[in-house]
Amino acid sequence: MVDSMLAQFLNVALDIQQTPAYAGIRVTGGTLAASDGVILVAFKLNSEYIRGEGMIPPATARALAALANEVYLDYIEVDGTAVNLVTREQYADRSERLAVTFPPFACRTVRIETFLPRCLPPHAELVCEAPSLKLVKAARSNDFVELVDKPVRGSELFQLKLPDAKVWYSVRQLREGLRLFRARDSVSVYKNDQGWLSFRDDWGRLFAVTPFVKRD
Amino acid sequence: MPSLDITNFLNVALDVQATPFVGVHVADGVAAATDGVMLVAKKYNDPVYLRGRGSLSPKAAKVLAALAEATWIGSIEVNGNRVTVTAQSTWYDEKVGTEVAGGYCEVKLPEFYCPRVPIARMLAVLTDESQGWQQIVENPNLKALKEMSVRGYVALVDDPRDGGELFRPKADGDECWYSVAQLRRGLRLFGKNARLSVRQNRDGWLAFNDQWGHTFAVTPFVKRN
Repeated sequence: MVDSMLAQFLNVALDIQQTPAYAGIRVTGGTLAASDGVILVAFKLNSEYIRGEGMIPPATARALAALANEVYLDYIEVDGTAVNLVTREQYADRSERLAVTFPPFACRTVRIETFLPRCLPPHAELVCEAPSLKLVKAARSNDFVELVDKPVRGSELFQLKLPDAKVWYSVRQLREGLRLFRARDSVSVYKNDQGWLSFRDDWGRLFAVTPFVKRD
Repeated sequence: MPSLDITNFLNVALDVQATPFVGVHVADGVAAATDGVMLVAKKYNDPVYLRGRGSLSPKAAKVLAALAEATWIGSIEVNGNRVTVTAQSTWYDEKVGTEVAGGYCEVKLPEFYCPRVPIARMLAVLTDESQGWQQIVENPNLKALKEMSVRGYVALVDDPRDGGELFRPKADGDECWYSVAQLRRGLRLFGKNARLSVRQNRDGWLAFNDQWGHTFAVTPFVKRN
């Protein structure tokens, strides 16, 4: 079985981590995380599956995404910026373990995991479960949206930004991060006191975005 | 430093290859891919750089393309469906504040099944004198191809000249013509500074070569009476 969820996460993370200061995908405690300083995506996996601590450089992440889409991975081990993984080669009569070692590539350590607690309870409050996100799909990518007053399950979470909005979000940024989730995934939405909006699903994936804030 | 030349070749090859010739095939220092209508190939003159004989499955080719996009590939060894590459590691020097190249490390990719294709025999056709290959033009202008609709068809101009336009829109009386979509897909193989040499055989096959060992060949549509 291939790990298409991991491959999808890596592809989204690769798109997001393109700011030089945040290049790479952080690995710690079985969690993968990537950010560009404004949005953040994370994927909490089993710490036996994603082992070690360090950064997956963009180069390795690309190759890893291609591999995860095609083969079953036993585990991935990160040591600094070097990545080792163990996969199974399938033959007609047997399967064999193969260790693939990716060399270390230049990548600075960015402790993205320090942002994660701020996206989840108790630092963030639940806004809504399983909302509708149709407006994000329908709006133009250069539009801005804000949260509706009292979002409820199944109804729209956003409305187009009004002139007097105090906190609002970019449709482009929301779209970029929401690609993490599939159409039928049910997400829980959290918001912290700084307006950070987080989307989390039952598979351990998280997308957080920081808001635009009105300054007086 | 990324190996953009390999990445570009593999990406074009992955786009071109199709069943029953699936994969990128390696023999005698040449990597090639075909769908039976088009063929793209790259000859490496360094016998150490690309060695061995076999086929890279599309899966292995994708992983290799991703790796080559990010780092310098020192060598590629193909043995059947087994692919082993040496990739240059890099590290970040905090004092200098820049990326520094490190040593080469071996990366052994998983073995993915891919059927073998007699690619050497296919490539031999492109140089076979009995096929009546003739040099048409050097360094042609391909502007018309870029401007035409991707669904369009083109034929060779009557008397192509070096540096002049090579194609014109297909006319009703043409005996053989080419698909703009196919030409565009294959010509992505060549860089902006490539000096193209164009040949045609008596069956209308068109072959483009550049000074760096890239080849793109395409078969024509032919008028049947």
